[in-house]
Amino acid sequence: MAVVSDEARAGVRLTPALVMPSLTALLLATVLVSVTLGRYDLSVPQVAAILLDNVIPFETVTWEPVQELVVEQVRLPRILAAVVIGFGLAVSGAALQGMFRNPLVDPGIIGVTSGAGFGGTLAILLGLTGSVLLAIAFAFGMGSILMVKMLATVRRRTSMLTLVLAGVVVSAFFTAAISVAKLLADPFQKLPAITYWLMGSIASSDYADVLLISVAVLPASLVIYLLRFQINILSLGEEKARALGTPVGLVQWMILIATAVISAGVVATSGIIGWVGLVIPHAARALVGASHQRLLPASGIIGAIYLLLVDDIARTATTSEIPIGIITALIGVPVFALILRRIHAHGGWTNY
Amino acid sequence: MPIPSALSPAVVAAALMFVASGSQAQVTFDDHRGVPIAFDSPPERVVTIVRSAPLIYRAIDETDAHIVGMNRDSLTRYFTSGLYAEILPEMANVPASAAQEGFVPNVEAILEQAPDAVIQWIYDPEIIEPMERVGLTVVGWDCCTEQHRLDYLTLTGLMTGRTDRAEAILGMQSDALGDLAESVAALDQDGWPSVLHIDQIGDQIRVIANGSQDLSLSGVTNPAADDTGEWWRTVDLEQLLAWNPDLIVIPAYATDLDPQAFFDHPILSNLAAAESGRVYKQPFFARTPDAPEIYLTSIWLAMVAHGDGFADDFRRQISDTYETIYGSALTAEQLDAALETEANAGSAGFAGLFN
Repeated sequence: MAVVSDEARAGVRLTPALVMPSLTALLLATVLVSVTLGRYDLSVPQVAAILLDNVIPFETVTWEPVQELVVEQVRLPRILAAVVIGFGLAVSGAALQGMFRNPLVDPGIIGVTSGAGFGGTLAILLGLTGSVLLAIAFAFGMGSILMVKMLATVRRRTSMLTLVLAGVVVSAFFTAAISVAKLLADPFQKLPAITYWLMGSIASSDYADVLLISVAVLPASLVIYLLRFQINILSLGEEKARALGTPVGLVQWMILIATAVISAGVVATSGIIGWVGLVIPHAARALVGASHQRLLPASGIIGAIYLLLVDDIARTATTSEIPIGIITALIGVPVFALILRRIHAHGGWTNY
Repeated sequence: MPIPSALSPAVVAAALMFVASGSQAQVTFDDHRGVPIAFDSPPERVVTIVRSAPLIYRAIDETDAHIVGMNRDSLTRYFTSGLYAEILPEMANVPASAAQEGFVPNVEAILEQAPDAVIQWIYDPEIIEPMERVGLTVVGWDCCTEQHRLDYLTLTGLMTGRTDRAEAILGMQSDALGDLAESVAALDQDGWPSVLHIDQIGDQIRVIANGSQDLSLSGVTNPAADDTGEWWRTVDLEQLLAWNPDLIVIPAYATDLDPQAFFDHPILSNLAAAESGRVYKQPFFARTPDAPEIYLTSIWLAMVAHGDGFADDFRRQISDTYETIYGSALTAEQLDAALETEANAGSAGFAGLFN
């Protein structure tokens, strides 16, 4: 019987010095390719010239104003939105999987996704759009994490199991509330709008949306990254973490609130985009290992690349705009099934 | 009695059966399922679940006396505010509990009205069977071809015993569209402008890809049309820029959207239609494609697409049409409201064509 070495069991791993530059270069390449794709007919040299004009202004412009509009006001904001959202969802998924010591956890488990989803649904039902919709969705997302905290905290202590169960309860409540809202919605206008919004889309993203998503995602991701060593310790188990002097409760809630801010921000601006936070951390873990020092940034960049590619499909496959959440689910489910089989074949999930 | 030649064979046969039996004798016809329907005399108590059926029934029957129940959607969409509420105020008093949401019947509420007949869609047997199980007579209507819409008038004429009314309204439609076809035939088909019907531009941009309106009647093309049969399509900004239509029409039911939203939009204002001011809010008579006056929409679209020359006096034609169909001539204010004059104030050529 062949003996499998620890190194082989860990899979193919690039040296730490190469991983981040390689992933970053891949992300940049994906962004550049994505900006040349779209329903509007533009050649690669035209797109390159339009982009270069921002750095080195051309004396003679060879493109139409509408072509510049397509590249700079339609494609670029959307691409940036995909990058930021993919980054945020993957980072929050990696952090939660480490904290809960559970490979099946994603940002939806803490109830924020459903809460923000209900907020957005309610706003559409009331005929509210734009910044008001965004504010209501975000408020409900953050409200749901407060509900989870209230339900999960007994005598000032919160167990992980109670936390997960509270998340499931809150999530189920808001899912039911979404169903009620859909039942009450006008079947010709508001119901399709609600259904479409819930499936997730970044089709109408502009720079203001990108800024809003970034305000939610980037500081929260930074907080999570600053807690990377504490997440490593938490992934050993609560008792060990306490024995090592980690303020377990404080770290847990900081991570939960940071991930809630990301999820609520993403859902508020783009609807529910599932599976990214669940699948991508597993792919990143296979590449860089389980230490959150490398796992968090690697997950973020792979998540950004993944969502960008998914959005490329969403906006180019047909004349119809395909909701991005449908594609992430269609790809995520079989990929996750494969990852689960690999994990099982290699003796289970590893935290370190 | 002459029967309009555009009717489907089943309904023509049914109409002949009615004619043979006389207007106060037994009424027998097949509904759109092919199910034979028989009444000893025109039903006194009718409940409608099809959203536009109360309008059609009221138009043909010339009274609300026989409509004893309707769908809640019918009430809120047509009879609580707007032009129909003004010219048919009595319709707001009809009980609206036949179906709370959508077209799923509230059987007990319907039984409470003791109807002689219920008008219901036939797309799903599950929304008919519970009513037939308790002995109600259901008249099934199919959707949504032009022929089906003509049949709604004929079937209602048969039910009400007012085939004369059905024939008069169908004849008026047929004459007007015949005149329009003659005028449009004189146009160079290669020069027909492209038109997109867009009903949402917020978080989602939604166009009507394959609607029921025959746009060729108005001498225009739809760049979103294809053979998928998909009615609505959600697209992105880039696709709209790629289509770059000559005209944009905002459907009448899109109450939250007006042309100014396109003129003010940072990206959509670059579309050819917006740059030339050719974005129009559809008139009220397109509020439901099933309404007997829907044919006015084809004339209106030909006018905004090609200019004058498709109606001698369109405002007069609208008013006459409403008077014939609903028994109420429109005031100048109601005509302006029907034409969405305020919303279209900034649209190219609108004032010259319709004021």
